[in-house]
Amino acid sequence: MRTLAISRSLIAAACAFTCLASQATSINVYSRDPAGWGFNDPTPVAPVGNNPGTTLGEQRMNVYKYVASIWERNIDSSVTINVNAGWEALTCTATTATLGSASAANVWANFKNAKPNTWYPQALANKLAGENLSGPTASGTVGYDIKTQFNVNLGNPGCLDGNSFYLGLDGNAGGKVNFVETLLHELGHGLGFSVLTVRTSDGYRLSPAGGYSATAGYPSVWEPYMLDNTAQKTWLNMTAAERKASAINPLQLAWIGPNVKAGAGFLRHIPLVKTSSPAAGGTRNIDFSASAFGPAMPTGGTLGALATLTPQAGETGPGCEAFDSTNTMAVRGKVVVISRGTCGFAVKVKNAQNAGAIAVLLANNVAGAIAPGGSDPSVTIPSAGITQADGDALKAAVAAAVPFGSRSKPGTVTVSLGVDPVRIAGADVNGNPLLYTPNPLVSGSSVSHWDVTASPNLLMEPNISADLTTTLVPPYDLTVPLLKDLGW
Amino acid sequence: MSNPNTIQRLLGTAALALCACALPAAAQQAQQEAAPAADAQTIARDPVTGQLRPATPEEQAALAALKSAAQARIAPKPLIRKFHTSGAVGIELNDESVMSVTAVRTQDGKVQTICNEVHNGQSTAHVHAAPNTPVTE
Repeated sequence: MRTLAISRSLIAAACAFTCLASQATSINVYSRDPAGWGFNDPTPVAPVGNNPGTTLGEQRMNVYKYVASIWERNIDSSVTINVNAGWEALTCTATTATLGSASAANVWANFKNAKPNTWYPQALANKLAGENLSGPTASGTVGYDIKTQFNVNLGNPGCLDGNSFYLGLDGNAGGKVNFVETLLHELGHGLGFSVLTVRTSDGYRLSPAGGYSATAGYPSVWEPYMLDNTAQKTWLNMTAAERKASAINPLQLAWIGPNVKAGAGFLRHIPLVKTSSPAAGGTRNIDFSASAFGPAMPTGGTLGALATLTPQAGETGPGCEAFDSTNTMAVRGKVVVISRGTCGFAVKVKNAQNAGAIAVLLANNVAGAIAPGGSDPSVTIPSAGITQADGDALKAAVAAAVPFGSRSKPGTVTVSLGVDPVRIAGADVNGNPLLYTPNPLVSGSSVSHWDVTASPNLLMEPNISADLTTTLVPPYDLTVPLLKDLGW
Repeated sequence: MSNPNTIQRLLGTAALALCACALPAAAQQAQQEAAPAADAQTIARDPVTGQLRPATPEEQAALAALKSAAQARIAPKPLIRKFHTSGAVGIELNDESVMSVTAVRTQDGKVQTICNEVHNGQSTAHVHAAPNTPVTE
């Protein structure tokens, strides 16, 4: 009998665990729009991208329900999550527009199963407490968990004309704004992907008395997992001044939660340009920043021999005019180093392409790195920005290699591509993913996103990239692991 | 209120802003130092190219001026304390906690969506893309 009792207990425990792990999460979307507006807009539309709605309002709500269903599959809670949603005439002109916004509506502390004196967003607090803390027995005026609003006029004349939300569910947004990914990201913030109760401009915490305080506030549930590698402290153990400094400590604020750590192995190592030369000093590993135009640099393999330019008669700047015969012969079939200056990067690359170059390394003309911007759809060769120091070193290496060949075949520097064996894009040396901490502060963006250096791109980077999926777990994304670190 | 012509002139002189999502550490730092802050919650259509891009600080200032009269009349919603019978304490948050989002279509036709924050319904000139905005020449 004893054995049977134990077995039953084990079975019951296993069942309880299973039931807990598989409990269905329900996210309800409540429209606050009046008749004929927003979700109730009766304008007829054709079904688009697996969105079967036949009115604009229906399609808008269908996207909300679709995104809610994604979240329902990724988080567990026995308490219904309520989203208050509306479409509003947000600020815009013909050339500028506010698209929308979202936030957790309430935060809670000192509820059942909470860490003491710690702020949680309401949806997570409800999950841990096992009840709706803003239910009938609570005070306050706002009961829902997340509030969202998006621009009802987007794409209309006078409001970023012609660039409306894409309401399809298939990701084929084309030139429109992908509303699925946008809403997925914003609801992520509402569910807890935000430090939320710490003011990053001064490090003050939200106080239970209702204001922000240097010393009297409660920490955010995020803070134990936010390790500043410079200070070697988590935000939980910092002063307000230290948190303020950490928020603008680029690439030094890491997330050390165990679920994120376990899932971060898919982040890629930092790509490098590698050069090899018969001459001393010509073999180097160089960080680069991809250009915003043209094809991406290959991820590996040999690219070709390195070339430099000779100043041309009458040129306005390096690479700014069509290459003369000397430079054309020098760069044909090679990777050419061109210094920044005078004209656009795309102009330089196009001129190199026209001369037969196969790739371009754009060297800064001042200290620091550059991410070459610009646009030219006719550019078909890859290019990337490197530092002035690296550019100077490569130019010297090309000259130094010449004597190592013959008159008919001078020695060359060979360019290949590889990855840094140690450094990971978007993570610290210990493999902990980094939070976004640019200097100066980008209030709201800073801290509450993954760093933009992460590769592949993550949903909760500040820039919602076109290559994202709706998968929120490794090996595609780290959103759910972070939420699980918080208690989801 | 700003003169529309002034806004248009500002738009015409604005630099293209793109987000670079895989910059090396040094690049990120460099861009942070080089690029002026702008509001990526707001996007602008370049009057020369007709393409969408993040608004420059000047454009943000112009837009903010357009909104300023209305905003001046809007008092920030106070933080409201909440209580639960279990002893839990809560706060109803105001717009200081709101995360905003915008989209950017770059000159090569790609659309990028960018998330940041507003305070009291007002964009506060903080931008995700700006620190990583590539220079074009």
